[in-house]
Amino acid sequence: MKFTLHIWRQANAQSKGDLERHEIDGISEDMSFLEMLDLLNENLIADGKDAITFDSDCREGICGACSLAINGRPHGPGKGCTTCQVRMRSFKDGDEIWVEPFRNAAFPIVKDLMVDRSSLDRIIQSGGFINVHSGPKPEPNSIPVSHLVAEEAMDASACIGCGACVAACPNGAGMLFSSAKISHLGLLPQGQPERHSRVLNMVHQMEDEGMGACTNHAECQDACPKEISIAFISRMNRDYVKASLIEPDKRRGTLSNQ
Amino acid sequence: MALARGLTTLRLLNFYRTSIGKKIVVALSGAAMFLFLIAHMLGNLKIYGGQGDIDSYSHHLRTFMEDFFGYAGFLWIARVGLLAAVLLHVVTIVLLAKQNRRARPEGYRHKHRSARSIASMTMMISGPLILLYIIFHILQFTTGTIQPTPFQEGAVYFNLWHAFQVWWIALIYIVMMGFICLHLYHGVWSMFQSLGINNQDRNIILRWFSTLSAFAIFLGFISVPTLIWCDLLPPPSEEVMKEYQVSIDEGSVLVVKEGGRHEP
Repeated sequence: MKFTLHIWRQANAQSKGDLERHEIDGISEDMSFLEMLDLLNENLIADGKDAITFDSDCREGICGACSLAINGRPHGPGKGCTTCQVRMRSFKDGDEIWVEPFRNAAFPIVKDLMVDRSSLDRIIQSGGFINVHSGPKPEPNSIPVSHLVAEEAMDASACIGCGACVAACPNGAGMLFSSAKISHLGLLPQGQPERHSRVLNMVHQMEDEGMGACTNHAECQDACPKEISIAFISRMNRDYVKASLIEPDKRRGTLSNQ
Repeated sequence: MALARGLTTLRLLNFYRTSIGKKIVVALSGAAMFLFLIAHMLGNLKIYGGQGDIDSYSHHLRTFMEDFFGYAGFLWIARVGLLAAVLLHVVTIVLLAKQNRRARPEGYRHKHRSARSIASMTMMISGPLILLYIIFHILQFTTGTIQPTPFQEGAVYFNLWHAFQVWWIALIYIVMMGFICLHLYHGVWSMFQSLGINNQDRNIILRWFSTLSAFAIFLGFISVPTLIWCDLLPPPSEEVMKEYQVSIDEGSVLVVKEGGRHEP
């Protein structure tokens, strides 16, 4: 297969980038998108040119390292898969393909297609700890969790933190990521003691990272390689209203009656 | 106590500072306007009861709870409430839009759309257009500042009938109701999602409710200009009009006589 690629090249976060045109031939339809880029890089290196920088790690869709907006869509064509799982048979021979980095103010470009997604780590960190029994290993069924709730929490925890939701959102919002992280603990009994402080801290951190606001386009849900539902965003909003307005701040002290 | 009140205010301010808090404000102010639109649409349907019906309805709005709030008192409370809702909605949306622009300093060269609906993509176009339309609508039919066609205060049927004889006025109203329908198609569902009411069980109901209510409001509103423009409603009778003009001038309460005729 033969392709014309328009790939974003940028030396670092400060410099101005632009699309660079590359032609590539001899691509097998069974190659993954990243293998195609590997081959392109080998050609570039052989020509004595600077290889294209992009993120990748496990290459089996579970680590969340790969990124790339392929033809404007994070993780490219196909539902529920990451860039590393995209095969070249998803394209037609002779196609023109645009490859751009994940775009967001909270994702500064490191080089070319590689972005710094530490903002997502900082959101998780701001969620803090959960109180767990630290004695001998507890009996696994000592805290009952109903099957469907466990499944729902598992759906939220399937988030691999790739940032596709933030990249896909026309507003650059981090709602799907944050809501998945807030919900997977918020749904389980083990996450209850810090449920309200967690949603407050994580939402405030998300805002501080400079991410946008949700307008319910549902682009995030569509781009998510783990197909996480925007129902978690609704759930996060509910939890946030409760934590910030309904739950008392000060829980102690006497009440004056005059 | 002052400190406690201060803390509560601070909590509200902190809430509003986040985009989720702002979205809740947008959703609630939108909900107020949505409820008003339903009431307005149902009120407009009074035109099918005849000239007397809609003119007396307009008068009734002013005398509603007159004993308590005074003449048009209830109406003014509703107007102030709606104005507050419009201001909160618009100001908050402007703040959110600025935040969104900052969040994506450089966009994608190759644009892609998968999940966005035409309605959700055009909220920032339909919104400002609706605002301009509301201003035009109030200037035309409430204050009578813009009078492209004969206008008499309180004579609702007379004003509507004359205005919608003109094709471009009827067209403005029909097209703008289309934009409101588009805005509601996304806005109403979005309101439930932002308020955290939506989930997997309810989504199908909320989605249908938003679609159907948007279209019901659209059809209810456009029926009046359409039917008048198509000459399907009779011209206003001066007799009925004078009756209401007099009653309004005197500020007296209308009495409904048997058979639906009204007199001061």
